[in-house]
Amino acid sequence: MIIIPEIFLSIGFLLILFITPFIKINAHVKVGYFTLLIIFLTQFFVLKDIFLFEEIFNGFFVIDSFGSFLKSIILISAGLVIYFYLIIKNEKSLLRPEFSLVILISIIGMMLMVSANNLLSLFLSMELQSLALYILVSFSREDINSSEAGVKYFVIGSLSTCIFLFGSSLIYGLVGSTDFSNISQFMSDQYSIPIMLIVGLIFILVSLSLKISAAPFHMWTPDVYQGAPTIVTTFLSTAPKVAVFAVLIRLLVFPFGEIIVDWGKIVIILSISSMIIGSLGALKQTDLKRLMAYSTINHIGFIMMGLVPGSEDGITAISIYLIFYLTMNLGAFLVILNMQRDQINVTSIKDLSGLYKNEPILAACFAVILFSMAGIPPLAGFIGKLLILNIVIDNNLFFLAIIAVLTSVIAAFYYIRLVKSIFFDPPVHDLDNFSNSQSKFLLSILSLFNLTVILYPQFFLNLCASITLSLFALK
Amino acid sequence: MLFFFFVFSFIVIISSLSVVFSSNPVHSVLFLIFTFFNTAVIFLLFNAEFLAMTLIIVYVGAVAVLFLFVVMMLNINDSLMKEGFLKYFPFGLLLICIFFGELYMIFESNVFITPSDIRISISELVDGGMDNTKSIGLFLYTDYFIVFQISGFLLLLAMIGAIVLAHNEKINTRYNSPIDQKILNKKDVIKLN
Amino acid sequence: MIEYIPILVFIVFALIFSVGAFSLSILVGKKAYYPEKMSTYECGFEPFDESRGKFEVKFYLVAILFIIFDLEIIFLFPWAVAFYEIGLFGYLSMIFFLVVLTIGFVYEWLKGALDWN
Repeated sequence: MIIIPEIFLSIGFLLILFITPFIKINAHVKVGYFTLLIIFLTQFFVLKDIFLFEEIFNGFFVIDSFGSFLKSIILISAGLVIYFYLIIKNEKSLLRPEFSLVILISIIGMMLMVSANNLLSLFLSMELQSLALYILVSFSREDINSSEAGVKYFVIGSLSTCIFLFGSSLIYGLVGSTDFSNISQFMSDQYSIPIMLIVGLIFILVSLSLKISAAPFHMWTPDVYQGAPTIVTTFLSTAPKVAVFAVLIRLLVFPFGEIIVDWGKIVIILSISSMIIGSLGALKQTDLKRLMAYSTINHIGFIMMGLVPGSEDGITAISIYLIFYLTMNLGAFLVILNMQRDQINVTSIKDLSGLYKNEPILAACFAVILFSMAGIPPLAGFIGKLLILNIVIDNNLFFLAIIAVLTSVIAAFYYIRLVKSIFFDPPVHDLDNFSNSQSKFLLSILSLFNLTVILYPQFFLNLCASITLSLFALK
Repeated sequence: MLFFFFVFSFIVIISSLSVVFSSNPVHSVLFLIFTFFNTAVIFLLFNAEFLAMTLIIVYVGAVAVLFLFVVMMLNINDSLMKEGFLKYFPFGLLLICIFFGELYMIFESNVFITPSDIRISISELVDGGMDNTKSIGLFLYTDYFIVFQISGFLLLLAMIGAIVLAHNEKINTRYNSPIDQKILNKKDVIKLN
Repeated sequence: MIEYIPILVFIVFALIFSVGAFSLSILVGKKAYYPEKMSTYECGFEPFDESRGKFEVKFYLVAILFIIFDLEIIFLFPWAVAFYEIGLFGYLSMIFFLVVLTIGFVYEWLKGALDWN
């Protein structure tokens, strides 16, 4: 008897929702810890069935090890975000129990997305996830920037939804089914792939690129990242990206694997433009959150390169890069979350200057994470980049590799500029102390992970390779 | 039948263009309602009675009302909306041309499904004596059970979202909650002699 | 399809009547415009400000909650029609759906979103 983690999570969500109004004192903390407990238990259910392969709910969803693995990553990063929320000082408008609840329901949406095996169920779970994110972005009601970011995100998100629906309707009109296996069957029956299918796939790709903020569909990212409350930005830049990548991989590798010649070019264009825009756009930023937005775009472009060959190694490299990306991003945002002046979160780069004088250990940890993001050997980010470049070169895509290396060098510039500012600029003394010992501990763990991954890369390689096997079992 | 289809889809196109181009947002909403009605008729022409009625009840009855609220709430300035229209117009026109070019390419090749390929054929069910609503009911709650439940969660999330974003818990009015009065202890009360 | 023919006839007649009434009044009616007649009328005063005032956000909350329950009821229709065919599973599936939304309803009630003070 398997307990499907999503169902467990949903029932847990309903329970918490039911008791929330009865908790009068410190409701947001209590609900936050309840949520963490539920996430922890769900993690157990996910890992228990990690080597299972089964189609569930009439083929609407599929349980496989690739999905379970990414689900567990999503759960870990979301759990960390909720933990961050609990340990740092938040704005007053964020201190409502609904915050953890909305994160929880967006996790349900993401987990369903990861295991979706049908365009219909994929669409609905993606909506569940995005609707929760729109609410989170505009969560802080007193802040006009947050509301503005929410509206922007909502408009772009609904545009992306429309595009997705249009693409799926074209595919449905041609195939007569929204099931992935039927689509795959249809394609192997055809002599030549009809153009309608390709156009439908392009629409779906555009919509997913909007969700994942790959250039040239990235325009909302800096504004939304800047406007949203920092804790929400942390969440926005971690778990949803994993979920959308899972969808991209599942969709492109399995039902549309036959037309790799067609989507391969699009993915190449997306990744090249993301890397260029992500590296050049960040150069002139003065706001840390905007900088992180461009950094995310850059990383997304880099990860997308691994998708181009559509092979097992590529997906293994993507999974590894995603894990490292999450640790780096969570670490960087943990520092940004703790940058407060008079209890108010500040995000300007100038406020970082001379951090080393006040907080040497913290500054060192942050520097490790920034170097890792820049891809300096021997840190985790370097290993991820190396793996993906390896795949690209193996498939004789030399121009892509050259562009990737060039943009990484440009991107390294702005990370190192931050490090320079932390260590060598005259300090600003008016920031509140980073007195929070829990976040210091977490940050040091994250940076230690980034430092020491070079000692056991084989572990991640083997793990991700065995996980991705299940994705190709269907073929 | 085909004649009616063309008449009503022509009206839909014209009225949805009016939604975009009318300068007064309230007129836009009214045109939107007109569009919904005509779309409902098109659904009716294809035997999708349930969808047609849903469109009228939900979209005209509820969503359009919400749109009117929003139009009222935003207090949109007409002149500001027109600004920048000319600047973006050529770009938009280019996109429209590309889009329609693609659509032309798609529909020219004329490869559509034959009804036998479809997993559940509503038209077959309708021919077999079922009405449209019943044939939806037969599948929505059984085969499509999980999709139905996810939509339930979507509605729940919308509910939570509306409360999170629009509900003010602080009550500034001089209102006495009956519950508070009921649970009041005698020792907490100030006695005025 | 046949059962909708009366509605079509009704629409055609409504169209003829409304267009006819309008055009007749335009064609036949006597027109005399003068400034006083064309000015805005509001209890004899000049209007104070724009007629399109801002609503409070409360109304929006009620409207959106109405939409949600409207949709819930819409889902009940096909269920009721196909009730005998879908069996126990279909019944339970609807019950779970209703439980989910009822929990939401209880939540919003306890939160005081339905109070109007």
